Amino acid sequence: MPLIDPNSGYNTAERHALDILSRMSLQPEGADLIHARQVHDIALTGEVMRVFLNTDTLDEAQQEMLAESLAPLLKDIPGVERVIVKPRPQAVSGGRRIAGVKRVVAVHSGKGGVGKSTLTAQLALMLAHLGIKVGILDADIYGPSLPILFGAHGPVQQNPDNQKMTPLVAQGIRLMSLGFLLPDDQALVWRGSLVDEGLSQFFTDVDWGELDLLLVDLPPGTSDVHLAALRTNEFDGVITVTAPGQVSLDDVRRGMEMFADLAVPCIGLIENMAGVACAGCRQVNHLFGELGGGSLAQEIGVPLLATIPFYPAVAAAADSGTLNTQIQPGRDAFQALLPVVERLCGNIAGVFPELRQRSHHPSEAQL
Amino acid sequence: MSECKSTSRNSQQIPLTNIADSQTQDNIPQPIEGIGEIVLVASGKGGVGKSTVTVNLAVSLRNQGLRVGVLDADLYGPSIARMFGASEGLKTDDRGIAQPTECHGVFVLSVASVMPPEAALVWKGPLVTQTLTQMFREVQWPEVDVLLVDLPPGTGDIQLTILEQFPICGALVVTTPQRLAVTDARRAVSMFHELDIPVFGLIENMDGYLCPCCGEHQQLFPSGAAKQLASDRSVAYLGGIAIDPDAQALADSGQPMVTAQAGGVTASRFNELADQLTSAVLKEQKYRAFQARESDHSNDTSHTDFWEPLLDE
Repeated sequence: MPLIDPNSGYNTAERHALDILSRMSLQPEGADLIHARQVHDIALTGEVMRVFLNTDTLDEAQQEMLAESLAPLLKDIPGVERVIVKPRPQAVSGGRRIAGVKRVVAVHSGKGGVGKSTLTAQLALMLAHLGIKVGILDADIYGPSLPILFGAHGPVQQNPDNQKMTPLVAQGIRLMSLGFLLPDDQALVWRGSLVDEGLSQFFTDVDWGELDLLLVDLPPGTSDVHLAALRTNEFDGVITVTAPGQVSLDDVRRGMEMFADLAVPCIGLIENMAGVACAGCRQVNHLFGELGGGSLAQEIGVPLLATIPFYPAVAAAADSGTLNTQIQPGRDAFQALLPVVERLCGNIAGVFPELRQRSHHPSEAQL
Repeated sequence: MSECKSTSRNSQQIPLTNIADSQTQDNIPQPIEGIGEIVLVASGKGGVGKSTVTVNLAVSLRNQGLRVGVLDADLYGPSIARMFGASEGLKTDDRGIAQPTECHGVFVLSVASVMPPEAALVWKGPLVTQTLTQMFREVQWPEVDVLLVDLPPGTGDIQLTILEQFPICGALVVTTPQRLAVTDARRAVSMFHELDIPVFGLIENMDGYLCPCCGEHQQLFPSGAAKQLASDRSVAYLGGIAIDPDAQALADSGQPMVTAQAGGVTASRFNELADQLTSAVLKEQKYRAFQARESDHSNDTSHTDFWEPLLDE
């Protein structure tokens, strides 16, 4: 682990904090917190100063002690309103990966009903048109949406050779959802312990074949299900979806914090439901608030990938399983999602150059 | 603005005595001191406006003269505190016992009151149970006639814990016209029916909106699915609520619509819903009283005591 260099990209408040930390040590004669590599890193986002502790060099009692003693010291730095001292981000997956799947990206929102599943489906459709082999794993075990979004229904076949479930294929996309295994009206009441077991099966017992990208549609919130998912599999990134209103931002911020803690990089933020155009007078009404996504992206320091208005045509298509009719060049939904796909393809192409040739630029691609 | 209405009661007051709980059996959850009837506000899917409905119903019931509490059980996405404008932390009495905050005449308790917005809460099952038990039983609830509980979406740990551990009068299910939402609402209705909790009705939120520019009623989602669900499951369809273009800003700034735009269309819809809820609760109480009489064996003996001497003669 390299030593923190205060002159490399830290702002004034952060340098101030590093200066304080470099004059403190746990033992009277020992090295300071920075040189003893006890502080992993620090970051100021908005008015919140975060200090990430290195769990390799500190035991739990020491971490607790530092959490208590550092906060009041760093709070006095101009521009700092709150101090959070916590263990440095650590992945819990242990590097486990799904066989045959090159990249796994989660789509998440701290808040429900922001259109996360519909967006996931649209993204997958766009990527599939570009020749990328895409699958969707619907990990929303309490409210699976793939059956409606793709008009796809079970039964799911089991591969007799390896006992794994074969994904359904609809509109060129491989799909797996608990909704394919359950009748429509049955409530799934899973206790936390069952979630751990059941969900990990969903990651390990599906025969995806060769996939360039698996999008995992996570349930809203920060719960057992998320932990279980993150434990079963290493995610290459997460796309966060939010609605523009403040009530939604609170929850979304909490969700982003969870992924940051578990060392899953955030690819960016999508602001969905950003206004509805009246079919009568074309006036855009901001029914779900305004501009919140942009301010959150700026505060946290992640890119705002797109701001997408509510399109009644997309809602209708989602209900009837015909989203593919909306994902056509020139259509509102297609144009609005282009920047997201470009960013995703960029990320993927960085790892798989052959994909960049196939999808040199999504807007120019022949669909 | 007078947030606190006088405490005078009208005829619709819900009596505090909980008849069903007088027969103490081991599997029947114990009543909670001071709390009359517990009504859950649930939804299968998130983001359908469940919390907005809870807040406005609470204030509306309060305006009818009831004493009302709101417990935000959505530990994963607590938004009640913001919508009531109650984010300045939890008060404790001199014994250190937490007290719900009074906002707009309603007693509000939410986990959001005690935690910073960045705190990522990854709640594990046992922790959920413990936190909920504390929120229901270890808080100094004032006497309330109705406690509305804002459930998180879905059918997970929190729902199970609440349904098993606390005496629930009934539930309202909120959905939008969207098929995705209605499918999840269907699951929620199933869960309540399986556990024998009465579903007082289905509320169809985001049922279009009125364009403030041209006044035209615009549909956001194709409609019909919610009414179908209500009729399939013999649950009352309590009606739709159109999105009010001011709703988001009011919710963000902590002003319940029922108070901020008391004369408006949306406010009167909530007042109607509050009336429907009150009559459903009263009906449920009557039913429980009837059941209690039916199963009351001491009644049987007095019955026999009365007849035996007569028969002997």
